[in-house]
Amino acid sequence: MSQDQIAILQRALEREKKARKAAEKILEEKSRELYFTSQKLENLLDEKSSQLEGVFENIVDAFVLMDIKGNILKFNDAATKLFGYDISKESINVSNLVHQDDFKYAVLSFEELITKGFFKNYEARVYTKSKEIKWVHINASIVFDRKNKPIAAQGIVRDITQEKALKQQLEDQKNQLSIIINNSPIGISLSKSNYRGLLQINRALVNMLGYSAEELKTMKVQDITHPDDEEASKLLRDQLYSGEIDQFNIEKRYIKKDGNIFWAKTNVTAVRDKYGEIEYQVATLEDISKERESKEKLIESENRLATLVLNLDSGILLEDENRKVVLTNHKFCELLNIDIAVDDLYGMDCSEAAEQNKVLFKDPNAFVKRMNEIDSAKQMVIGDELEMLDGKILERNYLPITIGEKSKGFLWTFTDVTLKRRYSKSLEAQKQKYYNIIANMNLGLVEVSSDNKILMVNQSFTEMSGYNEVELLGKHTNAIFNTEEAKAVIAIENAKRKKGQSNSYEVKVETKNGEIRYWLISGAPNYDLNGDIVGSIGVHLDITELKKLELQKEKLLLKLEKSNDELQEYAHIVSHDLKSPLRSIDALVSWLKEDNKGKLDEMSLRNFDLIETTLEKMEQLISDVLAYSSIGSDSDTKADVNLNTKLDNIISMLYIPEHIDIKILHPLPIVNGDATKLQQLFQNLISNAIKFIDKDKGVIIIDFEDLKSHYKFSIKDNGIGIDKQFHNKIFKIFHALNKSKDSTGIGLSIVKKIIDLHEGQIWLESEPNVGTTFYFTLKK
Amino acid sequence: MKTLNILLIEDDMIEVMKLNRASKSIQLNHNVIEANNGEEALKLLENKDNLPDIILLDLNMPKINGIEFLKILKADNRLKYIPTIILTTSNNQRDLLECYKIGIAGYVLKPLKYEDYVSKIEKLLSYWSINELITA
Repeated sequence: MSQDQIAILQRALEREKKARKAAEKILEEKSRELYFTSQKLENLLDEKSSQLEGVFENIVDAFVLMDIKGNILKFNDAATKLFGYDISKESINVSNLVHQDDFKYAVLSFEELITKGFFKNYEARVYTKSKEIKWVHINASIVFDRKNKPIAAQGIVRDITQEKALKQQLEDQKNQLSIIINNSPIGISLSKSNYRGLLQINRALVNMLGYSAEELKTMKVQDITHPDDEEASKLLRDQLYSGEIDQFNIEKRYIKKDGNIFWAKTNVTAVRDKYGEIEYQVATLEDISKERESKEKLIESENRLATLVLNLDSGILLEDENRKVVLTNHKFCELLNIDIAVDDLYGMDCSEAAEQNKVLFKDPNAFVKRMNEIDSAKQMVIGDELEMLDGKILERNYLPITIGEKSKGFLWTFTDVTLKRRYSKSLEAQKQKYYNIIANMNLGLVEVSSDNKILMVNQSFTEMSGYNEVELLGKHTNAIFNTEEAKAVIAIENAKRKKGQSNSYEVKVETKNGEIRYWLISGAPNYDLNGDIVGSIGVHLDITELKKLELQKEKLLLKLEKSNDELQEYAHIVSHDLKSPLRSIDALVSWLKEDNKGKLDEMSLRNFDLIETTLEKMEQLISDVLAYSSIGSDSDTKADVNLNTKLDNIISMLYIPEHIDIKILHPLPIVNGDATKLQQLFQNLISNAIKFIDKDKGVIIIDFEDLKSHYKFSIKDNGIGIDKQFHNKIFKIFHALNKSKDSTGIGLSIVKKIIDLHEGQIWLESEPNVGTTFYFTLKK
Repeated sequence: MKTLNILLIEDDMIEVMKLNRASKSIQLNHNVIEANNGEEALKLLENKDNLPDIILLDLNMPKINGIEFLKILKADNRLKYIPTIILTTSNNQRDLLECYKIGIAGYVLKPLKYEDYVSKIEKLLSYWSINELITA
């Protein structure tokens, strides 16, 4: 039922009420009149009652007459219609009519009627004959007889079912409205223009603001508006008051009771009276803090994105359907040498711009043609390369951007790949260079897979092996490493490759023409891009010649060793054979002397002595030559030699005249060398020193100094000295300066040879008649 | 002091004379048997009933040299017990080692001087003459 209909019905109801009131008044008067008149004009009663009857029958409302017991006596037409009973045919008691829930109320009202004589405004439910429930409004009074005795009761009954229903509906609607308002998430307030505070506040608004409804009733909008938004807010309010506008929307901040701020979308609508004055203001507030926050975040992220795009390392150009620039960035301008601010490019026509800028490219027409091609195809293009006049190389991509089914434009991206291209070109050049080296080097190169299949060989390798490339590729390595020995070696080496080791090794192979060759192979594992071993690479050097030389050398060395040995043996035999006659001569001389004792003159005896001296010298000479030739024969007997004990040995062994003093200034080191030879070295030098001391008091000073890699020794005497001119000669064999019975000229040669064996040097400082110092070094 | 049966294996005639004379001059009646080379010596040694008490052996000899002879000697079950002293002019370290390895009872270098020789021989013979020896 619409608002208008309700209003019409209400008005009709009002009118009916008034009419009924009038009718009731008339009735009451009439009945009283009737009552009194009946007594007076008893006779007239009959006539009058028929008259009245007509009245009753003609009133709009139902009229009911019943006896004191409640038996219905009379229904007018309206009553008959209301209740549905035809009382001329059936008898009804009022109790039949009363609704069971209203029974108590009915009894009370009836009692009131009896005691007071009437009741008014009884509203209750009744049953009709068809058991329909109807709301009725009843005014009733008692009918007395002449003796003032109540004889009947009469009532005007009005059907208010419809009215009641209407009222209920109204009530329901009001409740619904309030439910809607109170449960709305939107804050709603109602205020009167000439009334301070808010008349109506819904729950949502209370929650939003944190003030209770009571508190808000005394507050103004300004009190809860953020100061920063008050000006804008007031402006709109004023416009509303002045009638310029009937409503306004504003997004503004409110201050909550706890001081927090929230954003709300506010709508204020003026409700005006017929004169145009504002009667009420309805305000709705929608908390949009969250939306606001998201919006801010969105803006922030958009800004970030925009900055990102602007500063991207790739040139970006987004154009719309009509080839107008929508978005671009600095890099784009930089790459294409465009001297215009980014913002000024927006809206520009791309095809025109391309036409203008085509001169920047090496092939301007191809550039424009390709661009138009891409544009008309509207298909993604990746990795187009553009060469610019200044040498720059750009990579261009083209991407149609669609969101859902809708085209959002076309994105061109440009990346400077000049460096990348240059790198790859130089890489290619490097590769070529190394390839040439590999191809032309004198080393055989073979690449082998993990299962020992030959993947690649270079020219040199085919020459080395005698097999051509076709014969080798795809074959097992055993094809080249065909000797049993080589196969075994290769198997071991391949195992090493698989462990990632690289090294060099030798193999003996047979070439295609059956020649035995020796190869030195440097093998290394071969890795793929992921670092997994995929085989190995071997560099092959033919070392057959080298190997032959090596074998030859070994043979020679053996031979040399043998001949050295033989020589050594020979020296011994020779020395034995030379010495034996000396012994015989000596024996014979001594026998001659012995057998002719007393018979020989002095001269003969002296001559015999000379023979003996000569024999001794000869013997010494042979021993020295043998010693000299023995040095270097077995130099592998090196050990740590304590020179202090050696020197003690020598001093105790040598004959040292009493007038000679030997001093050792510092303890001597332990050196690595040949013990016997080192002893001989010191022995020779010390005995030389002893031999050549001509002074009454002889001094021999032995010292030593620790140098970095060598030990330096010195043996100083105060003997006859050696003239400078002989300093170099004395170390040469048979260069004895003083031919005497105990100087063969070999001693210092032996010394020199021993020092050479110990990687040292010998030199001397000397002054004739003052003394000599021999210096020598021995390697540590 | 007992007299020794000495087998001298020496190819040099004067060396033989030296030993004989030296042995005589020290007035000990040792019995010197001469063999001019190894072959001859081995022949002499075949007579097991009359084996020498000691052997004086020169190293440098024609045909079978001293070391070869020594090896043969030491390989023989009976002869290997005869003390063999090397008497040589060779001070070759290798020979010295080799001889001791095979088994010798001494290694004496012949000195240059005859007096020294006599003195050495005297000592050597007096040493062996006081030794207990295995006799046949």
